[in-house]
Amino acid sequence: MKTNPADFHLYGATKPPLTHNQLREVIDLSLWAGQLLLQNGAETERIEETVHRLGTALGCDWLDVSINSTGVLVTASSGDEFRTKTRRVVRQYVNMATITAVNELSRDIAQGRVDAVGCRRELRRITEQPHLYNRWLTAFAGGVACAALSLSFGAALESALAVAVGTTIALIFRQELIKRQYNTYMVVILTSAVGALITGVAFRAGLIPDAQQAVYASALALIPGVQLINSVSDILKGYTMMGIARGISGAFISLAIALGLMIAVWLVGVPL
Amino acid sequence: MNLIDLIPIILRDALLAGIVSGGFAIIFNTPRHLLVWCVLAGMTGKAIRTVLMTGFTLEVTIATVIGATAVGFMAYYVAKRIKAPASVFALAGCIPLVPGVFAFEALLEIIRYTSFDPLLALELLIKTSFVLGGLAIGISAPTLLFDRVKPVV
Repeated sequence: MKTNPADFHLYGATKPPLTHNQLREVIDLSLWAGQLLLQNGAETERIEETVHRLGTALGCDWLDVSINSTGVLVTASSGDEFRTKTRRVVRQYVNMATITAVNELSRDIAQGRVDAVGCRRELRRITEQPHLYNRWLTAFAGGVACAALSLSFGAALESALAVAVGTTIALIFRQELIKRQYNTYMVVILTSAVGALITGVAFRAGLIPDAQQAVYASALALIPGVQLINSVSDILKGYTMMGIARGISGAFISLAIALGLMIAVWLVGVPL
Repeated sequence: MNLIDLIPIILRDALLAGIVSGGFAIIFNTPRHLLVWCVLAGMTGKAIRTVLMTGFTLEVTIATVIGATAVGFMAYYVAKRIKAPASVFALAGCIPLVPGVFAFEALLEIIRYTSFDPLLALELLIKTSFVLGGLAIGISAPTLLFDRVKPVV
C-alpha cells in the first residue's frame, strides 16, 4: 500500500517520506557515524544519540539503534518504508579526534549546514584521517605520563626516569604488535612484561632504589581507564549489557597486565 | 595538617596530574587545541582530591567522587563553551584518579600463590571498584543533574 504524501502525518510521520534508495543512503551514513564512535571509545548514550540525530536530520522519521560490543544495528523508518542494517566493529581504541569530528559533523547536519553528500565526504575524511601525533611522540608522552604517576606514588627521581624509558620502549613495542595483528590480550601481556622487565633490570643493576612503584608505574599506561569508566557510566545510563561487556573486557585487560608483570617479575626476580 | 603546609604538596600533585592527563590525552589522540583543557581538568581533579585526603583526612572513595565531580562540571562547562564533547576532557582528567595501583595490588595478591591473602585481595578489589564507580558517577554528575531531557530515542 502506498501512502498519499498528503496523508503521511497519519502514520506518525512529520517529514515527507524518503524513497527506498534515499533511506538506504541515510541509514548507511548514520550507521557509519555510529561505527566510528563505537570503534573509538565513545559512551553508548552518545553513540545512540548521534546516530538518531544524524538520521532524523537527514530526513528519516525515526531511527531505532541497538548497540552491542561487537557492532551497531539500526532500523530507519520514513513514511511506510523502513530499512535495517548492521555494521560490525572489530577492535576498539580510544581516539578523541574521531569522536570530536563526528560530534561536530552531527551538529552541522542537525543545523542543516551539511547535506548527505557533504556528510559522506566528511565521514570518509574522518575515517582516513591519520593520527595527529606521530608514533614516537605518542610513546614518549605515555612514558612521561607514567613517570609522573610513579612520582605521585612517591617513587624516587631515578625510578621515574627508568619508568619513562621503560614505558616508552614498551609502547613502541605495543605499536609494533598491534601493527602485526596480535590478539588484544597478547599485546597487553607482552607490553606490560617488556615495561616491567626494563624497570626490573634497572632495579637489579642497582640504578634505582625502589622496585615496586617503578614496576607498577611502567604498566599503568596500559590500564583501560576509559573502558572501565565508560562501563560504569553505561550502566548508570541504562545500557547494562554494554556496561557489562566493557567492564569484563576492562577487567580482563587488567588481569593481562598483572600477568605480564608476573612474568617480568619472575624473569628478573624483583621482590613485589 | 595545616592547609598552608599543604600548598607545596597540592602544587606538586597537581603538576604531576597535569603531566599525566596531558600524556594520556596525546595517547588518546586528542586534538591539539583541546589538550590544554585536558591538562587543566586533570590538575583540578587531583588537587581537590589531595586537599580532601590530606587536609581533611577523607576516605579515598569519597574524595575521588568529589574530585571527579569537579572534573565533570569543568568538562561540562568547557564543552558547552568551545563546542566539543565533554567526555574528551572528563576522561583525560580522570586518568590521574584511576585506582591503577589498587587494581594491580589486588590482582597480584590473587596471583601470588605462596602468600595469598584473600581478605586483602577482596578489600583491594572492592576499593578499586568503588573508586572506579565514584569516578564514573562524578564525571556523569552534570549530565545526570542538568540534561534531564526526554530521551530522543
